[in-house]
Amino acid sequence: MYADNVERTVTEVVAEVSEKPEEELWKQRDSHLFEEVGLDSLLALEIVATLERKYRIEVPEEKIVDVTTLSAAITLVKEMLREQGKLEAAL
Amino acid sequence: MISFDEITRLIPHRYPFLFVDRVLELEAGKRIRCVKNVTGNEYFFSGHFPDLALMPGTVVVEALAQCGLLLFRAGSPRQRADKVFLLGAADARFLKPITPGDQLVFDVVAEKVISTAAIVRGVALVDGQPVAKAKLTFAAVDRSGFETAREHRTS
Repeated sequence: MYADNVERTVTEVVAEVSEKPEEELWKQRDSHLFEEVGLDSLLALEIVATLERKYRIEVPEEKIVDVTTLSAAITLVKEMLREQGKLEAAL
Repeated sequence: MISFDEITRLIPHRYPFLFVDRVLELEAGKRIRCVKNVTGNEYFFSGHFPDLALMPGTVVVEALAQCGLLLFRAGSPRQRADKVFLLGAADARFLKPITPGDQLVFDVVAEKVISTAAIVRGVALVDGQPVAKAKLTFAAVDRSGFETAREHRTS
């Protein structure tokens, strides 16, 4: 169901942090991940911190608020990897 | 070194819920080392337990969280004082019992810090040996935002 390894890995990370099944997340990858008022930014932060460790990237603070959907997280990782010239190797 | 009095100016916690006596070392935004001397007079020992004084693991986690907050607050002028601190996640492991007379040293390092939240990893040591460790995620929320969130929940 995934087009590349980044999609797979980011989905795995989001599934682990959010404690939601991967398949369900992938089906609803354009839906908002978090509904809880106030605490959504913490889950986004945990997802970003895990992705930073995994891909050795550093996501600037202003980009973290964009991580509201699984698709947005995938796009962000690809964008950061592309900037560092590491996207091809990660796909 | 940051004294107990200075600690009370950095975080809002007070007796009976302030569990850091002194900051020994601080690298702003990176790591902090704090200390707590555990005495037989701690209020929680009267109930935990009446015949066997053991420091509750949840209190150790709270102490590590307070060290994380001090790391978050100290040396960062962007932070304002009118914040409410909310612990969002705690992944903890308790390795050895802590009893009166122990000196707890907390080593806490920042994993990811942004202006409104942080993820930290901490270990509590007694005589250089780990007695507990935890990964903690917390948010600093504006007091006004916190009240709004509570109203949403109760309405």
